[in-house]
Amino acid sequence: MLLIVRDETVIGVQPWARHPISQGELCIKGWNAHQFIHHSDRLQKPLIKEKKGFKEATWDEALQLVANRLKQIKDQAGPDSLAVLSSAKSTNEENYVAQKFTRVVLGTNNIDHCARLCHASTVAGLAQAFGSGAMTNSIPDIEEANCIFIIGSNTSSQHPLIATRIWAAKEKGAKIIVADPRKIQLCEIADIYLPMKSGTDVALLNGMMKVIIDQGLEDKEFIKERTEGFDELLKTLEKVSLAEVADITQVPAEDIEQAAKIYAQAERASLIYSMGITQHTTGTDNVMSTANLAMLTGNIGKPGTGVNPLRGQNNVQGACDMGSLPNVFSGYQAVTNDELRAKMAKAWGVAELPARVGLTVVEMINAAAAGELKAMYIIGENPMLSDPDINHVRQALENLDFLVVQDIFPTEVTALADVVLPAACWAEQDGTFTNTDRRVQMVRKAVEPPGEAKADWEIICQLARLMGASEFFPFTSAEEIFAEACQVTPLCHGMSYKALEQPDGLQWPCPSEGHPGTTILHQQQFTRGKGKFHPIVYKEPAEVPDKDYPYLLTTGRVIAQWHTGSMTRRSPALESEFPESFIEINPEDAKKLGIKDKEPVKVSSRRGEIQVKSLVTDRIKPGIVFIPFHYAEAAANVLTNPALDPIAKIPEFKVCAVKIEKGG
Amino acid sequence: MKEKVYGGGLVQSIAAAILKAGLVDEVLAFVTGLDGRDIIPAFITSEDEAQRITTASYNPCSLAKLLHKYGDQHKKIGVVVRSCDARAIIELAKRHQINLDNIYMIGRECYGVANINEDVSGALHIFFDRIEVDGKEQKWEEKMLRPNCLRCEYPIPTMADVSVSIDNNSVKAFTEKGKQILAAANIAESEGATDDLTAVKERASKYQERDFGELTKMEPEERLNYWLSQFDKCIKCYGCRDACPICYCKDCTLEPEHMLVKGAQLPPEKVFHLTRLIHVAPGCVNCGQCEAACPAGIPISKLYHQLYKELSSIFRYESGFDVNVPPPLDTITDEELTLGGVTID
Repeated sequence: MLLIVRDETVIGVQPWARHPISQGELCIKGWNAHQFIHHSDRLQKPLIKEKKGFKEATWDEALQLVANRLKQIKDQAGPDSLAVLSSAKSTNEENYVAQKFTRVVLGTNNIDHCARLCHASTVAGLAQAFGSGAMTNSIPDIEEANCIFIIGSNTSSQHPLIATRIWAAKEKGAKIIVADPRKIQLCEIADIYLPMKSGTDVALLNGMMKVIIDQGLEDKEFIKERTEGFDELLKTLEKVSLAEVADITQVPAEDIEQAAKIYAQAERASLIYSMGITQHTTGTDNVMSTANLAMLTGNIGKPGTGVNPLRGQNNVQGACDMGSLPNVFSGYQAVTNDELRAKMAKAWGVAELPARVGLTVVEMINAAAAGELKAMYIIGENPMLSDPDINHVRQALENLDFLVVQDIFPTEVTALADVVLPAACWAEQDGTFTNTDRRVQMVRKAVEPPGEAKADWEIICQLARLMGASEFFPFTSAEEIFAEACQVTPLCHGMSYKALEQPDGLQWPCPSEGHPGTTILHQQQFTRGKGKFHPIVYKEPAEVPDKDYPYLLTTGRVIAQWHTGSMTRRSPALESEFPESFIEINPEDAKKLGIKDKEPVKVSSRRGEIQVKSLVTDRIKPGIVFIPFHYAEAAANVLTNPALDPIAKIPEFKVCAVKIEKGG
Repeated sequence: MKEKVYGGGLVQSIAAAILKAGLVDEVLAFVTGLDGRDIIPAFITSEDEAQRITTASYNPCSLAKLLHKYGDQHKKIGVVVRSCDARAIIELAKRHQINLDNIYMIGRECYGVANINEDVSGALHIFFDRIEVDGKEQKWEEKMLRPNCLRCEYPIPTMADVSVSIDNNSVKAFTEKGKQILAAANIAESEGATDDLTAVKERASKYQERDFGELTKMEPEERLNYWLSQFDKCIKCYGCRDACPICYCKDCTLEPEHMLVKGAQLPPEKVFHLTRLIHVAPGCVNCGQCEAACPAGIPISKLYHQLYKELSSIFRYESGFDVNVPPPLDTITDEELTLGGVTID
C-alpha cells in the first residue's frame, strides 16, 4: 500500500496498484491501516514499575535495569531460566537480532513467537511431508486452479485478497469445495459445502482419500515417481469406512464422495487451509493429511495446485524464517545439528551456541507458573489475550521474577511488566516482511516514531551492547542486519535490499545473487527428495463436549479486528464496524437454552467463565458455538484449552467444551 | 514521433511551465515508481519533478478523488486529467467540494487504461487501435483494457482547460485558463480540425450495448438475482466508496453509526449497495475505480454506468461537462415544482 504523509503525519492509505498480490485492492483493515499510528495511547517513553505504578525513565535507566536483571537471573538460575517472545509483527531484521540476542547473549534457545499459536503444525507437518514447511504455490497462481478445496479457512474474512483469487478462479469456471463447521461467506460460491464438525479433519481427509483410491482416481505415476510411504498410507486407509467418517464428521457420505471426486478429477486442484486445520492437538496430523491428499492426486509442483497454508500475521513467515523458534536458527537450520550449530557459531564469531531445544510459547507459560522460568522479554505480543487459558497465563506471568515488555501500545501484558519499552511501528522504520507465499518485501519508513520510541532492532542491539555483546551487534541500519542474515541463511542467501527494490519482492528459496526467487516449490522434486506419505489415524480432540460441558466451543476472528485489538480497537473505522464480542449459537440450541438473539449469555469451561452477547444464527451447526478472541472484556481465551499438539506444541484453540447459560 | 509519447512531451512541459510561472503551487499527476508498470500519484512542486510525470496507460486511482481528499483548498493546483478525472472534478465542483477557480486541468487524450489483472511484462501504452508494450507494438485486445474504458465515449477531455494529444506533442485549449496555460508554456495551440471521434463513439456504443444489453435482456427478477448474488461476495471494505471521486461525504451514511446498514455483518445488507448507487449514479463518470478497488470482483462500474445512462436519457443530462448544470436528482426546476397541476411550495 501507499501511505499519504503530510506534516510528518500519515493521513491516509492508498492501495498500491502495482503490488503483485493486492493489485490495488485492500480490505477494510488495509484501507484503515494508518488510523492507529498517531493515536495518543502510543507508548513514547520507557517505563519502570514502582510500587505506585509506572514511572517514566530514560532509555539508559530502563535498559541498564533490564541488562542488570537479566544478567543477574542468568548467573543465578542459568540461561534456560530466561525466555524471549519475539514478534510476528516485527521485521525480518528484528526477528534475526532477537534470536541472535537470545542465543548469543542470553545463552538459551528459549525463543519463540506467536506462530506457535497458529501455524506451528504447518511448519512441523509440511517439513515432514515435503521437507519444507511453507506454502507450496504462490497466491497469483491460485487463479489457475480448476478446483479449489478450502478447509478450515474463512478466507473472505481473514485473507480477503486471497479470496480475490478464489472468486477469480470461480469466474473462470473452477469448482469450489468448502469444509467448515460454520457456513462462511465463501459458501455462497461453493459447489459443495461440507459442514464438518470441528476437530474431525483427519477423518474427513482420510474419507476423501479412501473414495479416491476405491474409485481408482489417484495419480499413480506421481505416486510412483515422486513419493514414498504410499503402502503404509494404503494400509491405514483400508481400515477407513466412509460410513464411519460420515458419522464422525457429521457430513453425509455422498457429499464427501462427491467432493473427493471433484478434487481428484480436476486437472489442477489447489488445497487452501488455515486455523481450522492447524489449531488442534492433532494439528500436525491434520496438516500431514492435507499433504497426503495433494500427493495422492499429483497436485504438487504446478500452477493452480499445491498445499497452501494461509499465514496471517504480516511477518509470521519471516519470524519463522529468521529463526525466532526454539529448535532452529534462521533458515530452519536445527540447533541440535552439530555441524549447523558450529557453522552458525563460527559465522557469529562465538565459541559455541546452546544445543538444547528451547521452550515453546505455552511451555514457557507452564514453566513460568512452575517457577522454572524466571524472566521473560516479550516483544510485540500479548499472551494475556492470545494464549489459551488466560487465567493461567496471568498467574504464570505474575510468578516471574522479571518481565520486560516491548510494544507500541499499553496492553494487558504491559500492565504486568516490570519494564515497558516503547517501540516503533511498521510505518516508522525500514525493513523487510515475508508473506505467506514466501515473498520477502520491503517496508519503508514514512514518519518518525512518537516520543522516544525506537525500532525493536535498535532496542535489542542497545541492550546487547549493555550486556557486553557489542561486537556481535555492530549494526547501524536494518540493511546491515539483513545482509548478515542472508549470509547465514541459505534460503535467502541471494537477497539484498538492492535486489528487493522491485515491486514483486523475492520469494524464497533465493539461494544466490541474481536468482529470481521461487514461485512454486517441489516442481521437479520435493525439498526432501521424495514426498512422504504419513499414515494418520483419526484421534478425537483433547476435550470434547460431555454432560457437564455439553457444547463445543470453536474460536476465531472477525474481518475488522486484528488479534488482541491493540491496534484495531483504536482505529475508529474498524472498531465501529465490529465493536463487541458475540457468541454464535444455532437457533435450535438457543431455543433449548431459552436464549434469544442479542442477549447476555454466560459461557463457562473448566478454565473459567465469561459473559458475552448472543448472536443466534443458522450459520453454525447445532452443538457448536463460536466466539472471536479479540475482545478483552469477553475474552474467548479464558475458556480455551491449553492442550498441545505433541509435535508442534500448538494449542487446541478450535475445540474445547463449554456450558452455556442465559443471563449473567 | 513515437519517442515523444514516453515522457519529455507536452504534458511534462506544460506541468513544469505552470509551476515555473506560478500559475499553480502544485501539480497532481502520476509518476513512475519502482518500474515501468508502477504508476503512483504525486503532488509535484518543482519543474524537475514534473519531468517524472508519466503518460503510460494506467489509472491506479482517481486523481479527482485525491485532489478532493488531500489537495490543499487554499492552493492553486494543476491536475493532469483524463476525461473521467476532469468530469469528476466538475461534478465535485457542482457539489461545492472543489473550487474550480483554483484548479488548472491539463487534459490528456486517452483510449483506455490497463486492466492490471492481465499479465503484461512491460509498460503499457494504449491507443485507439493498437497497444504498445515498452515501445513494441502489439495487437489490440479488449481484455487488456479495463471494462469501463471499453464503454467510454470521451477520449478527449474537452471539459478540461487544455488537452494534450495521445502522442504527447500537440495541444488544444478549451477555456480562458487554458489559453493562460499555453501562454505560460509558450506553446501554440495545434491547428487543424478536431479529431473525428465517430469510430470511438461507435465502439463505445457497441460495448455499452453488450455490457448493458446482457443485463436488460434479463427478466427483472433474474437481473435482481444477478446483482444480489454479486453483492453476496461483498466484504464491506468500503473500497468502492473510498475509490469513488463522487463519494465525497466525510460523514458517510453507510457507516454503522447512521444505523442504515448494520455493522458486524458480512455480507452487508443490500441497502449498502443500493444507497450508494442512488447517491452516486447521477454523477457517475464511468472512471471504473470502484470496480478496480473491489477485492470481490463485483462489476460495480457496469451497474453504476448503466443507471447513469438511463438517468442521462431521462433527464437529458450529462455529468461532468458544464459546472452550471446541476445534478438532476438533487435539484428541482420551476417546471417540476408545478407538475401535474400540483404546486409545491
